[in-house]
Amino acid sequence: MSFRFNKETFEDNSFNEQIREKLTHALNADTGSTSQSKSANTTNTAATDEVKQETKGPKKLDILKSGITVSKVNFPSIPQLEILDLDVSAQSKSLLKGICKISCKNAMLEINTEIEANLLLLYTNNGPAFTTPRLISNNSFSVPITMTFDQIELEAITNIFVKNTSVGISFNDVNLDFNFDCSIKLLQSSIEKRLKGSMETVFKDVLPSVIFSMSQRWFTHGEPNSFPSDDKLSDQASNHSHLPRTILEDSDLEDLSPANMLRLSTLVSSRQSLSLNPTAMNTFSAIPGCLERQNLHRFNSRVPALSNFYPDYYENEAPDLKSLGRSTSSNAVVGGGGHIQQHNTLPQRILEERSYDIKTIASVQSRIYERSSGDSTHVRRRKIKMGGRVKSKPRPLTPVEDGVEGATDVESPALVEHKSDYPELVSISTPAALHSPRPISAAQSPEPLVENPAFTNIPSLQLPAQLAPSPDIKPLTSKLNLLEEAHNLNRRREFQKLRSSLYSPMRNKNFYASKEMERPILEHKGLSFVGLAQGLKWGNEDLPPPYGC
Amino acid sequence: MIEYMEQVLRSFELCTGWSRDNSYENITATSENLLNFDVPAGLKCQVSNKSTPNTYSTFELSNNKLINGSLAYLYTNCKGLENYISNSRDIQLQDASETYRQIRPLYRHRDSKKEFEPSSLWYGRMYYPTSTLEAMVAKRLSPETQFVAKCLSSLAHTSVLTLYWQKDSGQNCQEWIASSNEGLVGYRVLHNFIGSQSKLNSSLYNNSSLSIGGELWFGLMNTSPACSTTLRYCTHSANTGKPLTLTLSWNPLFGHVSSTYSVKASSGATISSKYDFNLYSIESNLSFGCDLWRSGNKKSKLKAHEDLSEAASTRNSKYAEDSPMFYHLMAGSLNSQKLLDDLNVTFASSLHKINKERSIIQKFENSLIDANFTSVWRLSTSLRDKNLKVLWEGKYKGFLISAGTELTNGPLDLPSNLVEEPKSASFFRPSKFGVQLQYSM
Repeated sequence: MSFRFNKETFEDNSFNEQIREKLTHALNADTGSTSQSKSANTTNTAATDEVKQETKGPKKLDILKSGITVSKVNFPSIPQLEILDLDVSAQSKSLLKGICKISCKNAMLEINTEIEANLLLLYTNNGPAFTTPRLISNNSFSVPITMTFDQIELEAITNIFVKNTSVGISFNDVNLDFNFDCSIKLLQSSIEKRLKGSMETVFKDVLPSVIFSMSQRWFTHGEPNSFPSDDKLSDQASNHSHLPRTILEDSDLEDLSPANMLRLSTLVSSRQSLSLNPTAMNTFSAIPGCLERQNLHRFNSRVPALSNFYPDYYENEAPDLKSLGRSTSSNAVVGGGGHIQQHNTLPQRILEERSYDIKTIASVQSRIYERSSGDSTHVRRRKIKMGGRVKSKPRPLTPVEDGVEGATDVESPALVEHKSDYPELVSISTPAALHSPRPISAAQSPEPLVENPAFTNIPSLQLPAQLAPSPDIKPLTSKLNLLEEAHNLNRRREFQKLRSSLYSPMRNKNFYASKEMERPILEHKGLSFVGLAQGLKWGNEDLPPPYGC
Repeated sequence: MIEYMEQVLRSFELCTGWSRDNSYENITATSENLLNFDVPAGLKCQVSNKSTPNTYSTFELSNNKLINGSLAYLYTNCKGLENYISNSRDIQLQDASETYRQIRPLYRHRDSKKEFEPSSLWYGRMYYPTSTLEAMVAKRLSPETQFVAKCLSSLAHTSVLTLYWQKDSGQNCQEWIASSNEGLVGYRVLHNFIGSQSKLNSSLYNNSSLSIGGELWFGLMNTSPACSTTLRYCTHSANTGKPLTLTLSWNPLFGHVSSTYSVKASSGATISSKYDFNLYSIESNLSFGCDLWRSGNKKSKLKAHEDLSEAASTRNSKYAEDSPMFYHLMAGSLNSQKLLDDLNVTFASSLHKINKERSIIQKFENSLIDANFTSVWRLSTSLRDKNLKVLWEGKYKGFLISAGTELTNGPLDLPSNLVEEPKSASFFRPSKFGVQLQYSM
């Protein structure tokens, strides 16, 4: 992917005239027609003026008697754009991120307009006619006003993200300085004060949201943007008592090379394919709501099952199964990965060593039941008398052994048979079925329900696990206890978290905390990041937004 | 077209002897009526009814983009008000239409005091579907004072209460106004100079009136002041007896000067012109307006003549043809009758001249009453705004109809210096169009 900063635009002074025209157009257009400008400088100054216009009068009472004319624009030097950092496809959803330094020096801007001096006329015209007394000779008196901005110095460090659907920009270090001169000296100080006060809003909210909403239309090829995020943006904007008018227009997008756009979309689609080489190891999926096959074992490892709580034993027993999950043979992935994770059974070794914890097992089982509770399956409690004969406690474990053996041998017919035993596994491995995990649990639940009493009954007959004289196991069980308590705490939310983690691949710090994915490169410098993802709020347990704050 | 409720209110003022023209608010009413008349927007139908002598009601439906309506009720305890109000079939068009305001000289104000009794008027109007409520209370407390409270309550707008305290002693009229909208407080005063014998005019009969007034306003919330002062001179042309009005207004705060000249050129035509000039910004504006009245056929005139003259006599009883026309000649003297007799002997020829002038004026006024106008065309234009307003008002089968349009040259809602781009479009196009139907019984 490449882009080009067309420096020639700024070589001659014609862009000054262009900026002047665009500014005049943008300041006078009430229809919110969008315009775009190639350099961030132009956008900045446009937004500056917009705020000034709003400083002059609230929308309800239009103190402006005429349109706003931008009479002089002068950018004597070329605005500089310095790319400090560029990172392509660093994260799953963003295609490109970069840090740019924008600077512009010694610019000048002059604006003319007319304002209404007879304020009482405005107020009486605004009021209802019935109760407003009529004033004689209360005509309008308009005063021309000229505002000059000298020595505009702008220096800003911006973070730019190009994502699938939009471009986000946040301004971090903004140094803006200018001399302000107003033809009505009475108003100069107050206007200047309000201008500087609103400058922060411009760079923090107005400008990023304008660019964001513009780029959304741009990426969706000019569809009428009815995104929920747009509504949200405008809601946000209306909270600021003024709607940031979009000042970028389509005609400016003509310079965008179609080849670049094609490359961008190719890149996007390649990331959304079911390629077995995962581009990012720690994420579930690039497409929200879909599961890529190579990530299936990770998903399975979070499905509540007894086997998931004693991974150490499985690793001890079958260390090669993990590698099977990565193997290129799809048969092995389905058979091996599904086999390991989906069996709600305890390894036999645990039973033999008696290192299990009753609470853990109970919580796992009840969670399985919670997940399947929508299917109106009744819990079948089985009463087992203390003196009664315990039946078939190792029986469910035998298929585990078989499955493990079958999984190690890829070509064995046992695997095929196994797949037919668990037809739900096939459906799991297709990403479409994973929009809702219900099919898994629906098929799964009867089995543990049958086995549940059997397992819970065993320890009541035997000695508790802590008392078992196996010193090497004991620290392990205490660790498992800690884990189990933690799970007890958020057991209620577990399933929801599991679901939501499917939709936001940048989550699950809890489970994959092994490696710090991103460190914030820049510290928070006062200006915050304005949301890129649609409707996504950065919660506590999420990763910090890239380059965050 | 004056709405029915407004007519009731004006009749109330007339009935209780309150002079509407003696307020500073209406000092430029004539030119305003002729130049800035309202053009109806959309279709509007009004049905009004005098249900009892004390209660009146109006139902209105209007269709301007969406249908909305209003329901108005009015109650008054003023006695004899029903004699002043006629239904839409019988009303004279010049009474139903905002037109030239005939200013009576000062001495004609002073006759209704003895029969005064306190009376009041309550008015309420509900607009739907906007659920806006208008309410007004007007009280005549003493022969010289009137209290008016107007209130507007709505969901969209903040509620507004405006209070007027008016004191009219004939020669001076003072008003104190307070409005909750922007905390507006105001004071206005109008002073009438006693019409004494003119030194310059050879004519002894003096029917002119000279008034000066001023107003001061201050918006407490927005700390914005306003003030203006106005001079008004009304007289009749000595030879033809046609009334004319001149006003000169000055706003010292914003340097705005405007002068108007209105004349009833004939019984069927009124012309008004207005020149505005700003001393500070040297902006100027020139406006013209005219009324063209059309009389009905003579047949109906004869029939209506008796009713009309009867109604006119009751209406004009306050202005009393029997009150002394040359009142100014003996202002301040007590033994008036004796003096009059002496004068009659001594200045017989002069008095004859007075009678002659008076008869000319009287004849002209009678010709207005007798004219039985059926329709009027009203035109108004302004050079700076580049607009032309046309309004037709008339009576048709008992309906009062007013239809009009406003043609503009410039873009409708754009500020003036953006007009440059579509300058080539020099044709007028309508910006407003509407028809209003009124029926009352």
